[in-house]
Amino acid sequence: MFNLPLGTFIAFFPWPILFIGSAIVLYFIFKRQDEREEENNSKEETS
Amino acid sequence: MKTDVIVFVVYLVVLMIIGIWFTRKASKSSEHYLLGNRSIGPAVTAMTMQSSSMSGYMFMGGPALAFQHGWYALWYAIGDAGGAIVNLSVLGKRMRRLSEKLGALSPIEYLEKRYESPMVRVVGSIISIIFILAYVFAQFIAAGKALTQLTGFPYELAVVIGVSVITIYTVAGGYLAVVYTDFIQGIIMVLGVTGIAVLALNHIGLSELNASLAALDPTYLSIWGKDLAYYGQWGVIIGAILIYLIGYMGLPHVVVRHMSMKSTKTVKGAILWAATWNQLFIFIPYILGLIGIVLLPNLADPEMVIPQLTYQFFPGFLSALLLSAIMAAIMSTSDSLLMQAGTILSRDVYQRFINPNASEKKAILISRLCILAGGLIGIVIAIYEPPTVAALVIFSFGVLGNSFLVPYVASVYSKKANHIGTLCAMIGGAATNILWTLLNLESLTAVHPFLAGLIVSFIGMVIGSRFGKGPSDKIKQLIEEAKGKKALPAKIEKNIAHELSPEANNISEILADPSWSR
Repeated sequence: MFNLPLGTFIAFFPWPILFIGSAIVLYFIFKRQDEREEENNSKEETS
Repeated sequence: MKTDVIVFVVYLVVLMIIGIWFTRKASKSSEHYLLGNRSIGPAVTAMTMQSSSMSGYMFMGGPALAFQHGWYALWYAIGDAGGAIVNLSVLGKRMRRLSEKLGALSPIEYLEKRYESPMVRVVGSIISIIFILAYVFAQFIAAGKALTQLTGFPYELAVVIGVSVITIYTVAGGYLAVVYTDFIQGIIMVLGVTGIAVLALNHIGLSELNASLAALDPTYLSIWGKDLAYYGQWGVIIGAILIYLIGYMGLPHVVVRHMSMKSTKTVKGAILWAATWNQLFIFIPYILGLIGIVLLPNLADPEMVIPQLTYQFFPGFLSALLLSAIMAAIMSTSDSLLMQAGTILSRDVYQRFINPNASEKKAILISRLCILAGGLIGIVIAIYEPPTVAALVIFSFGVLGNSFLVPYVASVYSKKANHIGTLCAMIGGAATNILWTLLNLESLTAVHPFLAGLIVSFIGMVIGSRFGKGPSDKIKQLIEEAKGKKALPAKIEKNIAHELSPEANNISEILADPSWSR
């Protein structure tokens, strides 16, 4: 691919996709954490 | 006057206006001046973190590395591209919470309060001041070199212009001026490199580039470097990746961005912004370095590959954009470093050890004077002795990373890590990196100085923490709180409520029974 040896292509090209993918996953994990934390806080306030 | 110089002058004026705009707000209190009153949102946090992290190295050192070693240089880019994601997800929320609970305004003050030892602050201040200043002086040299090359100004005049602007807006507007100018600079940097990349890759496509490189020397395409110089040296390659993948967690001027976030909710948005910006920006300068091998075979100074490429092949508006982008990278790092050096000198040295009773007004004045002094000394040093930018940046970066990475991570994850461990980690990590670099042990051992320093720092923390007093109960409690409240999954909570409801009903009936109350 792109006239590169296979080893070089595999070593360097997947990373941007992996990083963007992991950023999206982390976004949703943290979003869920934030929502739970907020729920918890509001429960504590009402009790 | 040439178009590029006019565009650049307008850009400098805009930066100064931002600095002056924030002057009044910054002067309200030390927390406003040093941390922007912990009010920074996700987009600005991400952009300031990344533009501060990406220095003049990205336009000079990185492309020069690719120009000299071929595709091997991309190992550094990989670590860099993932650095922000690791940094924000590992430290972001916990450090934001703990720093506020400890009432720390500087990253070194944070270490003293977390590890309950003034000695940690003394050692931390000494290491950070020396290497932050070395780092910032490298940026000033880069600013001078870039301006000289691009405008034709004499080197000395270029250094004075570049450094003066940085110093003026940082002194005036403090942390807020730094982060908002960084935001603008981050946008200019990404526009600059993507613009040049589109034109350069139009000129010579990626496949054609690799074919030309292979014709010149097939080892340019190897993951082991030109002439297979690093063949089988995984210790060097892992170090090259790790230095930027995790190294940012040890840089005081970067971790302070966690402390200044508006809330822990800022982290999730900042991760998305930073990850996207990184993938758009980081790989391109290295690719341009590779293009330079083919298009500029007789280039004398490899650090000038991007400016030379742009001015020779794409003159006009793009060269103006490039000048601004290079200066944006240099200035966004310099202002953060200068700000941090000033913060450490005023908050961790003056207010902590010289005049603990200084008023808010006096503390802010001292911070401003320290930043000004840093700028002035920087001008003199940059004019006096300009070494290569890349070597100085990698060295300072490595030493800072090796000193502080383990202490910062352990501060929020370990209840056993104590001040002895931290001192061992800081001193051991810094000393190892310095010796490894000065004695050139990398070529002897095939282990990167950063990897060696990291291992020693980690061992120092583990062994050192077995000696001396452990963290107090209060600190242990704060670390627990910094983890955040762990809510049970909704399903389990529902089941608990369901199982407890008969019992709760019985208790309610007993309490309602008048005979029981008598």
